[in-house]
Amino acid sequence: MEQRKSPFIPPTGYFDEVEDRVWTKLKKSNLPTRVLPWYANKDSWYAAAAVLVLFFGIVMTTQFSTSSTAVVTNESSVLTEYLLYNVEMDSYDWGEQLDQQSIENIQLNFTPGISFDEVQHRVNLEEMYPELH
Amino acid sequence: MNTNDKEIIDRLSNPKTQNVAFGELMRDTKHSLYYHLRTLLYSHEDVDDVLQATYVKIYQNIHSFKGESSLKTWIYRIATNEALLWIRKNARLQQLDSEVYQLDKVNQLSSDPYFDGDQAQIMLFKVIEKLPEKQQLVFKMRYFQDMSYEEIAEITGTSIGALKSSYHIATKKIEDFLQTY
Repeated sequence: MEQRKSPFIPPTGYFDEVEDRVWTKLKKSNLPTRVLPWYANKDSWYAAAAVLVLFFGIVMTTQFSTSSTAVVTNESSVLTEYLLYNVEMDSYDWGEQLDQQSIENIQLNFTPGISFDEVQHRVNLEEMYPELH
Repeated sequence: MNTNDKEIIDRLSNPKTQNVAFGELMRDTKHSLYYHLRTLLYSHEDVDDVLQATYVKIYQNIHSFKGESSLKTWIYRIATNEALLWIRKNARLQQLDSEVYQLDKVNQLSSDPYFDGDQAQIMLFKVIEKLPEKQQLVFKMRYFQDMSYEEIAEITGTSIGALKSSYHIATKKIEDFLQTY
């Protein structure tokens, strides 16, 4: 096959100016990056708030569940296992899985009218996590 | 590493001489790199972007050149990789297959003010674009850039035997295809 020359041509003067444009690009790419302090970033505040919410959520959940009886714990594990394999449950199924004592325990621990002071009392961080204080 | 390459690398590594040395490197390579990239990307505007990106990459990574190949083939490898990445990235952006994207670029050559070829050359590029990527690269570097198999082997990381075979297959396919038209 016959060897042929490239049919491509650059614009007039292209090779005279391309080096300057490379230098300009290099100067831009070598500019030092401005590092902002963490508190100047809005996302950092969102992340901090999310961590606090998560922390208090875990604390409150732990506090409630520690006063539950062993029966509830056992029932919960049975329920969890049941729910994993039986997604559709109606009220009859729930009744089958819980005895009267368990229902009373759940009502006791998840009373909606609980006061703020009582919540504060229950969430006593110093008692629960003395190593943090 | 040959003596000439070593001297250039030494000057590029020295903060006092690196800018002068890099200017010389650009002057020595810009023409051949430009034409190489044009056969890969076709459009002058695309080549301009990729050529500049190639030199920025060379400048920033010159310290990683170990002298396992010649400086020229190392530079060509960077340019070729940049061009292939450009094709894949832009084809993906336009939700096109790379071959379709490249054929579209070839079709635009007939109205390109920076293309001096005829319809037969456009047809040749269309046929080349139907080849597998490696056969395309070998054919373009050998046919348009007149590179040796040794140089192409260093750039593509393929053995010389495999390259010769690829070039032979590519030439045969192109000849067969062009004869039918």
